[in-house]
Amino acid sequence: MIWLHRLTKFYEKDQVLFSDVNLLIPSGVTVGILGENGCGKSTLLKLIAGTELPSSGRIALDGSLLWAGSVASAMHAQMTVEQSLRFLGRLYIEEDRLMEEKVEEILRMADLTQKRRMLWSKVPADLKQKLKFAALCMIETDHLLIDGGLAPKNDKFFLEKMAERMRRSTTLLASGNRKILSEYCDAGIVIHNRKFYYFDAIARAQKFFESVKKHDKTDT
Amino acid sequence: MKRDFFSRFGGGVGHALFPVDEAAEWIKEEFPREQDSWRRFKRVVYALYLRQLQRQLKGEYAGFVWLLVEPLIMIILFTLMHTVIRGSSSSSYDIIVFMGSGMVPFFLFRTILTSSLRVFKQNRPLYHYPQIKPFDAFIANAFFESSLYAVVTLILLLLAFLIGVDIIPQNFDGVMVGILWLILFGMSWGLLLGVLGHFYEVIIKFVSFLSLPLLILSAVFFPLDTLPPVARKWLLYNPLVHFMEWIHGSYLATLDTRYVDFSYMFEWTVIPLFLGLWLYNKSERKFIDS
Repeated sequence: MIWLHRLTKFYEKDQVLFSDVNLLIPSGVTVGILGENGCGKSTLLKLIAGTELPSSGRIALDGSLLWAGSVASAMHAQMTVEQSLRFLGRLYIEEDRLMEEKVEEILRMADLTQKRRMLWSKVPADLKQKLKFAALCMIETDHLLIDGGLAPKNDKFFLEKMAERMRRSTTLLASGNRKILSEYCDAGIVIHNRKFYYFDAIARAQKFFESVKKHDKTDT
Repeated sequence: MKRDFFSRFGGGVGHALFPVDEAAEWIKEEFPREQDSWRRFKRVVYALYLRQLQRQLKGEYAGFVWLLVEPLIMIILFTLMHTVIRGSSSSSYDIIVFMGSGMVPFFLFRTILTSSLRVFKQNRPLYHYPQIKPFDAFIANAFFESSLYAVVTLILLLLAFLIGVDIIPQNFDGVMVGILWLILFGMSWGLLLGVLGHFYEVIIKFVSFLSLPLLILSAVFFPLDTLPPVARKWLLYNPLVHFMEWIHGSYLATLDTRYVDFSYMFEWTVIPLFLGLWLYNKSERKFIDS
């Protein structure tokens, strides 16, 4: 469950993203976030993840959280893949033995078992991408925030794993891809004119978003 | 809890379909506060500590060697100077032990202080994780530097033992209390100046500039007793002098701790500590979000 109360976010005074919005996202749903480019989709995720702070208002959640954008910052260029992953694991898993198992699973899923001692700076970009999604799939948290894609190159196996993973937690998904949204999301939020519009069904959210877009176009 | 909420405030999730402020009050009470914050703190500090250790062992191996060599050079240098100036027979205490028990704690203090100045900025990418706070990075860093110096101390003691120096402290508990207190002293100043230094870069430069004068003015390589009373009086305003006198006096049977003023040391530890904590608390969000 994620709760936003009287949330306002602006960078400059004339660049207000949201003003005084309230939102309650119930536990267990997968919510797609829709909105024009630059309306604050990923800022919303960052606010919930706590890496950016609201200009005013309050955000609360009941449990642990993993934000897709944070995975890469745990990886240190001068440390090996394995060491960085252990660090990431320790942040979420208390028991060392369980953490080691988790690291093993992530390495296996990302095809990095052989390259575990490679420095992060030497790992090729596509494997880095794989590792990010493997970590997202394997590390269990109550909340999951994803911006962008769901799997490296829309890999079938990864997509399946990710769908399973999203079912187990409250997920916020900011994506521009219509098909992904309607396939994986239960509910939807449309960000429009500095306000949030929440819909229990993603189809209705998408319909609303389309009509809003059309409306804006005829206005200008 | 979810069902309770909806039966109470209706099913309208989203933009203010339910009485927002009333619901907020209700949620505030029902929401678990900071979840197990002590356990979170321990877990994060442990993870950060191991991360720093691995980085030290991998990339910055030369750094550890320098950590060992720096006090070693200083000890040898000042021991030589002392014997040249005063003649080896003139003093009744063991010069090498005296220098070592001054230099190593002093460098420990200096390292904790100067590394704390950069720690908030250095760990910026890690604040992407909601469970990592800048303060955790600060604590992990202080633990890390302290444990590095524990290793350095053991190696130096072993070296001294091998060349036949009597390394057993006269008052072991006293030395330990002195060093632990000195760590806390370094941490309180590190926190205060680290927070201030985040906003005023000049403070960081000033502190790095200060480290050489501090070495000279802190009674690290001479006992206070050998100074004329006027100089002694002025030097005693420097809290580090009290720490050094305490550690020297506890280590060597032939020296005493008559100039040490515990309440003065206490004030210089506690006041910056609380000031630093207060300032940190006020500006934590600025470290995370900038």
